[in-house]
Amino acid sequence: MDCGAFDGQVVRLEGIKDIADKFVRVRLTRIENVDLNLFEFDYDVTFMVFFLNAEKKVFGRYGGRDAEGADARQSLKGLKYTMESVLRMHEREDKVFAPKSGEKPRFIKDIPGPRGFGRDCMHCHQVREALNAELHKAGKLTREAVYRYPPPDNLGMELDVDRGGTVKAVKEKSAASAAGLKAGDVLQTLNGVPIHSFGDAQYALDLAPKEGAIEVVWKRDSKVHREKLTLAEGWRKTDLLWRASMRDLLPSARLSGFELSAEEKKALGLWSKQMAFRQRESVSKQAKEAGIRAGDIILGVDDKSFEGDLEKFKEYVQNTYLVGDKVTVNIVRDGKREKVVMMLVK
Amino acid sequence: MKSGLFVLLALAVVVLVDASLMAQPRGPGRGDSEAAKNGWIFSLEEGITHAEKTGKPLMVVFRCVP
Repeated sequence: MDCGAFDGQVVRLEGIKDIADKFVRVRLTRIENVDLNLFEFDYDVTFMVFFLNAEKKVFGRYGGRDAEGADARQSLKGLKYTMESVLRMHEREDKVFAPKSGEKPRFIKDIPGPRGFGRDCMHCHQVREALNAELHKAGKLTREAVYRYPPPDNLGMELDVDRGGTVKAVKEKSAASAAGLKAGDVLQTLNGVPIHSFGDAQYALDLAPKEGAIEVVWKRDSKVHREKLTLAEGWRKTDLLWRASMRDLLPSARLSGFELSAEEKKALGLWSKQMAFRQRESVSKQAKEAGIRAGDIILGVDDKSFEGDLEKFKEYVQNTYLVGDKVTVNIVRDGKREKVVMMLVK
Repeated sequence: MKSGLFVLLALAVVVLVDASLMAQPRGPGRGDSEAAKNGWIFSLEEGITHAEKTGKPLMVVFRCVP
């Protein structure tokens, strides 16, 4: 099911009519006049739900996705679970709200940069493109900065799609495991953000630093636990290829050719499944400028070799570098190993 | 002469169609009549006014369909 089908079910209130009647329901299909500091979300997704009170204080979010698909992380059961959780919070005296990145309203018209269809009509992902352009101008568009809204899986905890912040599984030897989390635990807060859903967890992790530790609070059998989750270097890294906002930032390796045979690999001392291909006759402009010639055998970049084929190699380059980065291409020429530096382009 | 006029007319049609796509309505989006039937409203400010009157929380769905 694509997110359009899920959206249709939500519009028709399939299975959620009773609980939905306890909310004032608003549907917005335009991003141009939205306060981006109030409605902060992963602008590469095309569906997101916010729960807030009349004072514009946000209880939580519902939505979010990963490379697997637009609906891999959402379900009507899960939405209902989150709505129930939000209603309980709304009825409490000591309500807890999600933090905001900025108090002052901020609109897309306030951000200089590309506008896609013009000031009055934008895709949501173009908001991210404008924000990225702003970062780029300020010299802050690093690889870390493009890994937005990392899923809790990156810290070793998988949340139950149908049950908001309930942990479905914990990966061994992960940050979550080290903190003591177990399947069945229910997240209360993460990095200071109240958790009602996977979308909340992604938001909480988006606010987290690139290294260090954040607090996680969870409930197990009515008992509240509080621990630190360690954020190791590179923890934010996720697959970027599905993100429309990244189209102009992800580079192409611009190398192509034919896989080496098993005998050829053996003769070069490579392992049998190692990626290795012979550059075809036609060499791209930037490969030529780097000094790569037809017939060179490409083994990898920056001394990284791969198991797999050329496609795997191209995927790695796109997921690891940005347009404008320089990489060292590891090659074999006339039987000798060499390195050439190549600038990556779109 | 006739072919020149035809080209101009064709260009005018293209420009008008394109402009109509760019200038989508500010209210309910395309295909949202079903949403209206199910009690969805299409203005955040209107929603907040309802929330103030009823004491209910707001559920705001963003569906990016420009």
